[in-house]
Amino acid sequence: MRAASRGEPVAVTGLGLITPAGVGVEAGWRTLCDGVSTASEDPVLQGTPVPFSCRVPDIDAAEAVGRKLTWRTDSFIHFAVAAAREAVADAGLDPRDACRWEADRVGVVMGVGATSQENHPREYAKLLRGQHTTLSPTIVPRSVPNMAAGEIAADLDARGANLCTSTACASGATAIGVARQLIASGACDTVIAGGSESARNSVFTALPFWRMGVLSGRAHDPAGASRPFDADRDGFVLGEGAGVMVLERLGAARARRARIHAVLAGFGATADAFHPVAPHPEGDGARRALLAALADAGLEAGDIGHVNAHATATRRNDLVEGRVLREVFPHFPPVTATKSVIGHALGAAGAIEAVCSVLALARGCVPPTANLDRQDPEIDLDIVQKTPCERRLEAVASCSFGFGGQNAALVFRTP
Amino acid sequence: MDIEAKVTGYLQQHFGVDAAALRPDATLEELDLDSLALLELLVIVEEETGVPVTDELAGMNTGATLGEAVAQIEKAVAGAAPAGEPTAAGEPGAAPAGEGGAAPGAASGVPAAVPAPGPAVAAGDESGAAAAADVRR
Repeated sequence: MRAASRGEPVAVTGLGLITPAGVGVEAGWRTLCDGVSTASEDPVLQGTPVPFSCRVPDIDAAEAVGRKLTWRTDSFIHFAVAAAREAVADAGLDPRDACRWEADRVGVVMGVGATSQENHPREYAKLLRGQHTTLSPTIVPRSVPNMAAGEIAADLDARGANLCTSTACASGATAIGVARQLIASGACDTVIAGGSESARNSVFTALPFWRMGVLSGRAHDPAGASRPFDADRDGFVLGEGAGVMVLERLGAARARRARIHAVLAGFGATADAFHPVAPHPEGDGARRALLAALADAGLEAGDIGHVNAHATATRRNDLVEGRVLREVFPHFPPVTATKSVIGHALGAAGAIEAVCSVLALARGCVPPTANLDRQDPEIDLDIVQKTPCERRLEAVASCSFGFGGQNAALVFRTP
Repeated sequence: MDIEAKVTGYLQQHFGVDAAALRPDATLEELDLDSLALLELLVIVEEETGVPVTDELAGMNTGATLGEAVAQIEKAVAGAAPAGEPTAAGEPGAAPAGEGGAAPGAASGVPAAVPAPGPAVAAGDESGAAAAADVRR
């Protein structure tokens, strides 16, 4: 392996994960390694054509992040703050430690795909009835995407650069890549980066995906609905959650004797410039994103020991992605599809899968893909199934492809 | 209607204020209520009572004590229609703009029946803006 192409390497020193697989990194990882889908009936979507989803286990959000935050914020902000707290604690950092937490140098970058609309059905019904004075004043601050980053900053006293990336289903991966650039440029010393979303929590955000025809219609079998790379796949299942990591310079991390999970070695970002929602038929943007991330990392494709695929389980995404991965990584590294277990968390997905990729690298273990009963004969990949694949890994890649033709790929390596 | 009990109930259940902090001489600010929270409180009261307190009490600020706030809300509610009960509750479309009537905390989801649009909703409601003026951006 060659050294990173430029600048000081950026280390991942903290991880936080709130997903349908569990609250917290360890609970989530255990469920992911079981390789069973978490999809089930969803009361919010009852009576709709897609009455199921992957939900974060019923936690008392008020208890997790405090009622004083939850009364004025939607779930994606609760998830974001909870995952950020976990990541910062995991990094061994403490915002109350004024000697070591240099607040002005701590940034936050969160990927969020769309405006949350949990309360919109109720509140907008008031508008349609002409009852505008009873409209809640929290509609804007509880729902707009940038609030995930803003609320984390206020909660953890992070006063540096603070922004939200919105690249649809690649948002969380884009956020982590941009966070690395902020450190490389010298703008920040530490960045809390990830993604957060909950589109399943409102018919206003869930049903538009159904109408587009991208959701699985297996209402009779929710647990079997999310089946990436399977011959019988018919679309994705909506999920929710947040994945967050703490990034800082490798030298600084070593100097404070932090535990280093991985080095964020490469980032590639491209556009298909082709179609609003369909992938490029040859996966042009996806391929270039992966190659750019490899070049940025100073690695060869053959160095990559595992790929966490985007793998939404739509007919077209998986077919195109399968061809791209086969071509870019001809040595058959084990591939997994996290969305088979936790569904598609949209803007959070890239960050959740980045966290999973780091865990796979650090633990030498690739969780299996659920529901892969009959691999699509046109998809020629080594997909991990049934049980976790344990092997020593030196470098891993994670890729995310969003509507709008927006693509992001991340490469992590051992420190 | 026991306004004091209602308000202190909302403060605990909706806003997460500690019961022990709910002294009449505590200012709303001391209870961690900012102007957004104060307006949300008035919206809840308006939904519950049908009395347009968000307009009538638009001048209230977070420097008011809990006791003063409760007294002002009681006065506004008592001075409204003799019944002081929600008018036209459950009659979507029947309530004139600004007179409440929605069931508070109605479950989110598909509105059971979306009525024809009521009177124009966007124009001229400055009370909310005034009350929330010190909310950043």
